[in-house]
Amino acid sequence: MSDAQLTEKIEEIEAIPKRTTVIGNVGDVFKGITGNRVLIYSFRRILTIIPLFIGISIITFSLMYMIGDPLAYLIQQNPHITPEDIERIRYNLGLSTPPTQQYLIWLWGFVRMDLGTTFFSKEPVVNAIGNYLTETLKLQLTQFLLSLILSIVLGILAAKFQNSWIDSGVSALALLGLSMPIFVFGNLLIFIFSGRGLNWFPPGKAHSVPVPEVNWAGLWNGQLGSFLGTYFAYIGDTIWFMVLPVATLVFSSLALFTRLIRGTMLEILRQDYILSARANGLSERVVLISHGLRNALLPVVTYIGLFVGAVLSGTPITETVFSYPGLGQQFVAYIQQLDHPLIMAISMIITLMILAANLITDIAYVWVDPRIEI
Amino acid sequence: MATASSEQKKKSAAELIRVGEKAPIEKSPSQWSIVWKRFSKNKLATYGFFIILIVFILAILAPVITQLPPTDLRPLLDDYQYGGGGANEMPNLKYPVGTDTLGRDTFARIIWGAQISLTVGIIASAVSTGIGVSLGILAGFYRGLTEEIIMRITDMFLAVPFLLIAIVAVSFLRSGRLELLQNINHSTIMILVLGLFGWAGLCRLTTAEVKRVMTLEYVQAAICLGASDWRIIIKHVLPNILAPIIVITTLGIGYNVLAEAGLTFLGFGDPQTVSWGRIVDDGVDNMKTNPEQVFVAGFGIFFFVLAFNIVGDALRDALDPRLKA
Repeated sequence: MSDAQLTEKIEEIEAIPKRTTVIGNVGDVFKGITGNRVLIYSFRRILTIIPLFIGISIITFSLMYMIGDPLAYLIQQNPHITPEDIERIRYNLGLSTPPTQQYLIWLWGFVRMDLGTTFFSKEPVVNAIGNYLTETLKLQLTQFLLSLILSIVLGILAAKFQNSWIDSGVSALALLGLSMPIFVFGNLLIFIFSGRGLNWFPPGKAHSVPVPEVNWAGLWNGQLGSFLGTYFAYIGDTIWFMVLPVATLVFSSLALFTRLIRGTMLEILRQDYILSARANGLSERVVLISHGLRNALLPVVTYIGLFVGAVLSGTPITETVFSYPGLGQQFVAYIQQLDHPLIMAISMIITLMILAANLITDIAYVWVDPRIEI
Repeated sequence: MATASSEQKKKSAAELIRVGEKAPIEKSPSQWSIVWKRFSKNKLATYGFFIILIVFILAILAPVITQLPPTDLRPLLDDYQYGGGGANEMPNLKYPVGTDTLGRDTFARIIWGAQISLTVGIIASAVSTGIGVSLGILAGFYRGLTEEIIMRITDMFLAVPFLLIAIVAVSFLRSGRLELLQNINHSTIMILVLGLFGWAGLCRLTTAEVKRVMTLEYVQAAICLGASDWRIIIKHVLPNILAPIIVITTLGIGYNVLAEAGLTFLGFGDPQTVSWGRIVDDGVDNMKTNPEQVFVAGFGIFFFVLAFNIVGDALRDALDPRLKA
């Protein structure tokens, strides 16, 4: 083989494109996963959720099961009902098996995303609570975002003007919100803004009757104007009905983050890097927002899970005060009817949301702050 | 004068330093007197303390202050002679907060309701503090498997949607299905539910504090000297983690009063037992015509919880200035 042939051969070999990713090399893929600390942490953390969820669902199920017999009222109302009828109804509702078996059936259903059928209206649980879930989430997300933004602004202001009247005002506001029972403040708002005198906002419910219809067909029929008009009317209606409940919730949940951000900001404003930022002639806005707030938001992340838990489990009271058609208000009604699938579905959906919020919080914390050991 | 006082100062300083036949006259102030001095400097906290004191006295003296028991229907028939009675009556001299729909004296209901709200708030807080602190000390002191088990249980109770589970639990306790629970009254139900579901946060805090204290020299020294576990916990660990526990318990009383009022407001109370939440719940239907039925009791709860929050914050500042929020 001549030199020319050899170089040609070498060139030929080099011309073959190298495979950058080795497919089938399990070791490399595995290393990629195990090397990622956030991924490992998330995986471990997700595994810890399962026993928590099962524990809480066992507590809820056994307490609920012991409240009473869902058929007691039916039997009392129908004196001529035969024992065979009762047995048949029990069998149809899935109440004839022992409680442990009922729980396992429920758990298996939940895992398969099948929440069962309600006892009284005989419709799938998802259909029964779907609308209430969206209403609750709408209310809670709005109030969450609003109170987060408001408490960031108030916290920064209080820290910036420490020991001034602004600071004491913000602290007083937070303390008042913390001490005010939701049902008293909600009723006060109803009394002022929709009772005597001022008739600005509706006292309850989530939509006016009849609900303003959105002309969705306008989107593809070329009647865009009609669609937009009805759509904005619908949104406006929703907002109009949400003002009072959201104001109540924001007032009561302002304290946690406002105090937290004020405390952290005070600590951060004493740090050397703030001093050097100021010495470098940066504007006060840049110092506060880019250097101060970014670091102050770190502890806020840890409290979001706690916050979501407190807020979500408080839904029954707010929704009862404003007769808002949400999960919490329905839960109170279902407890009195003893509709087992609905009670379990609502409490476990809310538990799952709280667990998910805690999970996301923890993962976000590890992801944001590389100093944390896992 | 100035020289005399400075001489006195010198002398007393000399007395302190001198080690001889006589012990120094001046004693250094104790931890609690320092705390009390710091606390009483806080004006707002003293007001809060007085509000709590007044509510306590009113609740204890309820039979003396009020003319009628809270469930008495007599004011309804009282309107023929001097006025004042009847249903849904506005405030007047005889019935300072008016009467409710069934003609009961709202003022008497509020005063008697303070008894239930206070009892529930304080005892439930004590129960959850007891559970939380003892489990926390166990977890922090013995570590290992004990800690793992206790912490997993704590995690579970922290993730419980409190109000929903409380509603289910109250319904269960009220149903009276078990023989044991036949004659259970409203306060006991509330204390059980609030106490048993409210200890998790404190437990976690106590565990962390105990673990911190266990690494300090004086505890290590006590261990080396062969002190028993019990002695180390009671004499060395507990006094040094007391500050945050006291603060959390104080704040917990306000929180429990709020939770009890919320549960009774939702209708999970006993119609015969009067507490502040029940009064608000009864008055809501008449809010347009008789706002005092809702708001006097409602603001009673508000000011009472506010007082506890203020005192709790002041206690935190007084006990440990480093913890200042």
